Amino acid sequence: MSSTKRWTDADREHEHELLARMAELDSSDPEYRRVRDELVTMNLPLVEYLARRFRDRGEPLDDLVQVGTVGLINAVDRFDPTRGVELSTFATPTIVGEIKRHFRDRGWAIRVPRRLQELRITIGRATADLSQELGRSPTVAEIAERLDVSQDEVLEGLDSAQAYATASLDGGAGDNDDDQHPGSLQDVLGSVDTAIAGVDNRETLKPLLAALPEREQAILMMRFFQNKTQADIAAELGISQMHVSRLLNRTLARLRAEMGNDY
Amino acid sequence: MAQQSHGPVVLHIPAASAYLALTRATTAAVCARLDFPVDLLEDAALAVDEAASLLLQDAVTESELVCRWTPAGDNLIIQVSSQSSSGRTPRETTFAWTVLTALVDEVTAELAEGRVTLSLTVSKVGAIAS
Repeated sequence: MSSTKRWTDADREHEHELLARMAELDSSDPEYRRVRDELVTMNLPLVEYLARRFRDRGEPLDDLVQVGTVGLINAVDRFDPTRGVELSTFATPTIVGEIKRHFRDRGWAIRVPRRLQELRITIGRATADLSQELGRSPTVAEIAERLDVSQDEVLEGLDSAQAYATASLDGGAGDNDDDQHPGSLQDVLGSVDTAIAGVDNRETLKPLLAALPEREQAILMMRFFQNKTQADIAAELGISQMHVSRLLNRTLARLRAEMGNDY
Repeated sequence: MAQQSHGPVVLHIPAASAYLALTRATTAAVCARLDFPVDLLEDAALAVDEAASLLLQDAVTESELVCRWTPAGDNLIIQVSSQSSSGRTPRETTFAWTVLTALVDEVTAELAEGRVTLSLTVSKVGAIAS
């Protein structure tokens, strides 16, 4: 984040004032537009920072900044100052969402056709059903048979087989797929320090783990330090095994990227 | 799908993270052909990604990463290798190593003629039994 100018308290204060003012104004008021423009301009460095994380993926950085800015504008428009979060926190998923949408629409690498997205949901459901029936995780062949599709199609629908590392695309952007907070999460999180005590690069790792969403932290701990299977974790957190797999992929990619040479 | 003999699958890719998706996709495809359960398949794909990423850190620039998938009975042996610039195998006390060992049944690292090879053993039997 080195190139993003650090905001001073005064900047933040000013932003709060602008947001409060905008909330009072009528959207047809010329003053509303002015305030809105100022807010967008102030936050452009955030867009640039996020867009830079997606460069070298075959789309010009300028285009990414442009679509990211659309996300920022949407976020400014929808922002509710009474909710007690910072605009940047609220805007980040929206900005990243726009950038990802751009890749989806245009990018050669992550074109995931709607058909495939639907197939993926069906596969997830079939996997869960079959796991119940068989008492173990099903094979690709079994899923294909159940859904009456080819094995290749099932493979296409599995996250691990995807042609594109959605993992790094999603990193840090927050996750709104499903946001349950299971009861055992705190127990798991309490053990993070102990779990990584034997790891060499724990000093680099610690703050990065702490910055992960709680559920991702928990999944990481459960999978890698408590040796639970993806299926166990899925059952415990009440999410699908595919989702556990996706979150693991994403989290590891994020940690790798952030730890750089100390990984 | 008819069970046929499964010879090794070998993939040569540039030692760059942009190509890692290929190793994941191939792992998934090979595991599916071997009728591995999906959770095992996903773990194996994750492990290969992890192993390859680990090697990339130390790989000689513009060198090649070689992945080899060798079915052996109920096991699948996955070897990932690259030319090492440090001439050392990865430390076994890092987080990445912890991750790797949790994902597969066995991990070994060896160094020969400047190439580091990580061998991952994924066992179908063990997974189903547990």
